[in-house]
Amino acid sequence: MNKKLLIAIAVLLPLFSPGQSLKMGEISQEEFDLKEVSYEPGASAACLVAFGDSRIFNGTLETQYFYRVKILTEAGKEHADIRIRYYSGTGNVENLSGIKAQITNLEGGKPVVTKLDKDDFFDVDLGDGLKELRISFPNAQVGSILEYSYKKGDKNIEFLDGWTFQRSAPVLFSKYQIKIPEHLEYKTIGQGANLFSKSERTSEYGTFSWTLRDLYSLKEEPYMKNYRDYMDRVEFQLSRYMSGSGSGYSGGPEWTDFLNSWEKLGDELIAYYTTKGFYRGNPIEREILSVDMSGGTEQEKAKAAYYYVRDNFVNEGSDWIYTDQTLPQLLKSKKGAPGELILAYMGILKSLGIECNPVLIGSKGYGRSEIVPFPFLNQFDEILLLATLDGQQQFLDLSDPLAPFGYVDLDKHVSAGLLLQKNASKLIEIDIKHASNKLVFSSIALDPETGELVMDNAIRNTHYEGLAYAHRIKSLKDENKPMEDLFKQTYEAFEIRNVSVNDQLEDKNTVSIQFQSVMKDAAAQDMLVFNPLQISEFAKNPFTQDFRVFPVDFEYTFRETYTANVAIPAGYVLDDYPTNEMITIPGSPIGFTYQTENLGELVKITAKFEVRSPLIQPESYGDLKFFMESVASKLASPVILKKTGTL
Amino acid sequence: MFKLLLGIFLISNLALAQESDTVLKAEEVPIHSILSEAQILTLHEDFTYSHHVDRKIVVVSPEGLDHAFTRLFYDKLNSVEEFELEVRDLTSGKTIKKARLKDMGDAAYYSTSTIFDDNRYKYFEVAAAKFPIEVSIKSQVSSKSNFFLPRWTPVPNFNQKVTEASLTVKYPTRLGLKYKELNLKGNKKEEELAGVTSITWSERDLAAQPRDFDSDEDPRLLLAPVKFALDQYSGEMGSWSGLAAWQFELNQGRDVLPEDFKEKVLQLVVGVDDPYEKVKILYEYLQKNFRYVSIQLGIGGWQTMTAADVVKYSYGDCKGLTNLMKAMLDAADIPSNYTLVFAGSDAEDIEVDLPSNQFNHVILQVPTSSHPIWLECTSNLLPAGYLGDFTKNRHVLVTSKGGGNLTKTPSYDTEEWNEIRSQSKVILDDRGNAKINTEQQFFGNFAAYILYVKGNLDERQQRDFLNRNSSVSGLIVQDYRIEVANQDSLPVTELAFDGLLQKFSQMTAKRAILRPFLGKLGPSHLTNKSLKKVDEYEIELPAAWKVDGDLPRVSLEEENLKGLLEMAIEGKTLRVRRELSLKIPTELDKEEEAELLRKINTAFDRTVFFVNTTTTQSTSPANE
Repeated sequence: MNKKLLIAIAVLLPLFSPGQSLKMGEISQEEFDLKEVSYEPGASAACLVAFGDSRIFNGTLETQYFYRVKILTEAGKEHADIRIRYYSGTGNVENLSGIKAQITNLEGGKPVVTKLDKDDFFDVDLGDGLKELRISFPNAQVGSILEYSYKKGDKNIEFLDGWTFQRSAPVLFSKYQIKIPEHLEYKTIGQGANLFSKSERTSEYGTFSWTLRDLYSLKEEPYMKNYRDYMDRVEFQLSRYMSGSGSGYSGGPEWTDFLNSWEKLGDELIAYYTTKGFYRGNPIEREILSVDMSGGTEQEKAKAAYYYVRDNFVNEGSDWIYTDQTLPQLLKSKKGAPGELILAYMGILKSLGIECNPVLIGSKGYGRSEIVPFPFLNQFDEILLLATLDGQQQFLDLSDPLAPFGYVDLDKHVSAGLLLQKNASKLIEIDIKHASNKLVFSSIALDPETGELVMDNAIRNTHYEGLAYAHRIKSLKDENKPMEDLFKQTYEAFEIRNVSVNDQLEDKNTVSIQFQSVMKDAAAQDMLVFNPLQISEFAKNPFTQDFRVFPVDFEYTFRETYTANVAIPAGYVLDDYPTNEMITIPGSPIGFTYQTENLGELVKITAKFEVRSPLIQPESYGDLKFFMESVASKLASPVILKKTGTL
Repeated sequence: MFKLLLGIFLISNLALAQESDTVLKAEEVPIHSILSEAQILTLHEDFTYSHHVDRKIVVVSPEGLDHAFTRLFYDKLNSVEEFELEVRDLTSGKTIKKARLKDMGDAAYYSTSTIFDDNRYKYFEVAAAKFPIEVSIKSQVSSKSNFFLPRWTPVPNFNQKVTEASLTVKYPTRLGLKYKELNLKGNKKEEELAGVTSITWSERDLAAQPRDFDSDEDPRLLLAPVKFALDQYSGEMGSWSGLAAWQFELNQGRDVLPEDFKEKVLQLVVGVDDPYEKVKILYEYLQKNFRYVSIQLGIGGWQTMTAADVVKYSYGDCKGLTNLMKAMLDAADIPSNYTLVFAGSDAEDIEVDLPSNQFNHVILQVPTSSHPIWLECTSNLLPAGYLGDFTKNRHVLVTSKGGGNLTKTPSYDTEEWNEIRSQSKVILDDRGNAKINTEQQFFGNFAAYILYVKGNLDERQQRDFLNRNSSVSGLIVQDYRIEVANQDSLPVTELAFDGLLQKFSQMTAKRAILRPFLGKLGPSHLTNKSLKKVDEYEIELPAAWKVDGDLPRVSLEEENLKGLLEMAIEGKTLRVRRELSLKIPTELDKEEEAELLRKINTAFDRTVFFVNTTTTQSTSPANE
């Protein structure tokens, strides 16, 4: 179906469909009749209703949840097993109560309702304060309608979890409402393309609601590791509260800010890190007494300090803005999470007289594609450093034990972060410059003695392309596997020989690999037909799905250049070759050129694949898919050499 | 530009260090820790046991800390009795950590498939900054049943050297004990005192194992009781028959069907005489109306839910669904046997000479006058009589009243179980794009996967499956259908689609070249040890295209491989037929398999060149 038409139907549908009942057991005829989700045919189940209703009562957030799910296929029966995870902690931080569930089946055209009792609910203590309520619906059949509701109490009212609209099955109707008491004020944090473009919103007497309809199910898509950042969601951060009653002699009610300014928020974090010892100079100076970091430029000093921390501390644990250990504990244990290591690194740089400060960021996959523009701490999960080295600002990271100085984990390539500076913390833009390229050069010739067509290949990967290769090489080494495995799959019919690796990532930002790919018995054939550019992973189109829900994320800008020089062997002529091509898609976020030059005894083939803007929206998916298919076709095109019969 | 580029590469090539990484086999296995350990397994008269472990681990590097991680399983039948740990800094001699049972963490074993279970563990993780450290651990767990005895693996971790390891098993002589030694090279000492037999196995100086160590070479000791009990059910495992008889007793009386359900079962097979047909009808009823839910609670890990409960809830685990199916067949006067199996698509076969509980799954065997009908009761996709790769081709224990026997499930390794046929019609336009109509038939093991695609994927995923598995890339599926046409136990699926092929032909300066369209064979084609594949194409070409050169013809006939590729032009239609027939020797290793694939793909995935007689390409090489 035409996608535009689909969208139009999706927009129009709410006007025609009657309102879903949000009460258990009130199932409409349309819901009984539903056999398929029109915009997601073949879906195994549909979430007919998802409804959350929150209020704050006695300092606790109480949310009443209600779900109605219909099983549409045999495979959809898996939706009859429900798992609800919650954090109980040591003080019952979250608790579930009032659990009700029932299943309705049509028997002879009449609804038969089976209510679940306590034996059907199973509460499991998963450890570390996490619990999980499990419900297994009896008599689940294709056509069954499952309903369940429960109340969750949450003692944390500073930040409210709110509501996520998408689920593992397509959602036909999802509504969240919250009643905010008069004495509290929250800032709403909304996220997701649908929430901003399609949601129905109401606001009445302190009750706010958001409704979304006809949402796709959550499914993984290639080139999108962090789809969580694009889900539709509302959350709330307490911004101020009212104290005083305004009666008698106590004076009028007063609002107290809960949400600070960026400056205050930054100072609180700095105070936290200070109590953990990360802003104290003495221990760190003792730590590095034995290491010579005295000479050279600031850049050289920072580099020496980076390698000292990277190579003398074990990097283990979750990247997080809060630290488990104090600085002295870290220096003693020699093992820490990336956040702890980077703060220790900051201490070393400061002790060397280098200006540097932490920058808090919300990494990719943490749930947000854009920064929240008010002082809201929960949006941050990881730390970078911003240092001034010889007058130049540079972002520094310590997440990846293989990464050289100056590399920032790709999940931290976000648009903005909070720079922590005493009394002057502020949001700053993050723009990490790098030239991540892959340069492939192949020299192709027929060996007259062996009759083999030999391709001598050299690949030079720079920056993040190089780091990616360094990881692949390490993984093969760890598994005791030969380096030929790097290329075996790509080349199939060719034999891979003489692989050599030169990792100069630290000195020159490159990982170079040389190897031979060999077509045996080539001389025996009258026509030599081969693909001169075999190494590109884009020789196969990764985008095979019909449509796209989330953006395509290539993660960073990069360029791949392939050059093949084919020597025309004696006794052969160049018979045929791929034609030139230059293509892109509207807006030119991505481009490809292919060129053939006949230089007489040599044919030179050059292809360039360039990603200029790594995030491509779903609207451009059709163009991108066609583009990538054209690239794949071109990269698979052969050169043909023909025997002339005379040498 | 060219010279400049070449220059860059010459320099960079010179700069490359000429270390060859082609072969990276480490000569010495790095040692992360050194273990000395003594274990005592004490079996008691009341069929309980206790397992005491006393181990010292010298951790020499951070990677070895995982070797000191303690995880002690418990549930309703097993409990953790004792745990003591001490960590010493071997440089200073100081104790840096002590821990006891109360200091252990506690967590549930998390399974995405199991809803109801009581499997939990207590754990303790050692942290240290300086090495070497010595970690001393004493632990004791006890079990209410000797039905399942722990196995002994003297080298429990890779990169761990073992100076000494011993296991002493003490058991009342009258209860008996069986064991199987695998790759043990140390000493064994046996003695009996006052009706208690004690056997000690000792191993010394065992070398560290690399991560790619062949598990078949791993030293280990498998143990099994002779007389045993679980809850109030006692039995003897002296033979497979004894274990089978006990399992039968454990489920005895749990197959009673509610009367109304029994009536429904009988109604389903009224007027049906053929036994297979009856089995099929009832199996399909089970598949449609009951779903699999994993339940592992106490003795319920081994004993089935009652058939009545499965009927009540319309769900059950493998035991419950198999037991219900057995009861349904009983109601229809068809005897069947509850059968134990060690399931898993990559699972190794059981040790057939050690009758013991080596099973993790249950299937049903329906004896007939010829081959038995096998039923995988947790599947709602497979046809009656076909087992998927989860349980095929392995030894299983068939249980029946008073005994049972070991037998093997089918291997489905003949051509009839491994066949793929396809017929495609392609119409090419002048620009190299094409319309395609393909019909495919999958038989046996290949059909089973298509059943999964049909049953478990939504439309977008099914279209994507067609696209990714198309022998020509760039397929845009328009219409498609997937149909099931099982022939009794033989799964058969038919798949048909109409679509567009973007750039089916590549335009070069002189030619149009069809993109490879016959499809390469991959490792998945060889997993079932035989293959028959027949692909036929009718390709309608643009009128102006003429074949360039001879059409390829390939014929190959070897001991295990027959292949034929034929192409012919009739008017403007290119007809292509490829027929491959393979029998893969069992002993073929991965490298040989890869070589075989390379050989077939090189020989049989051929394409065709055409000359366009009307158009001239405008993109001539720049300097020609």
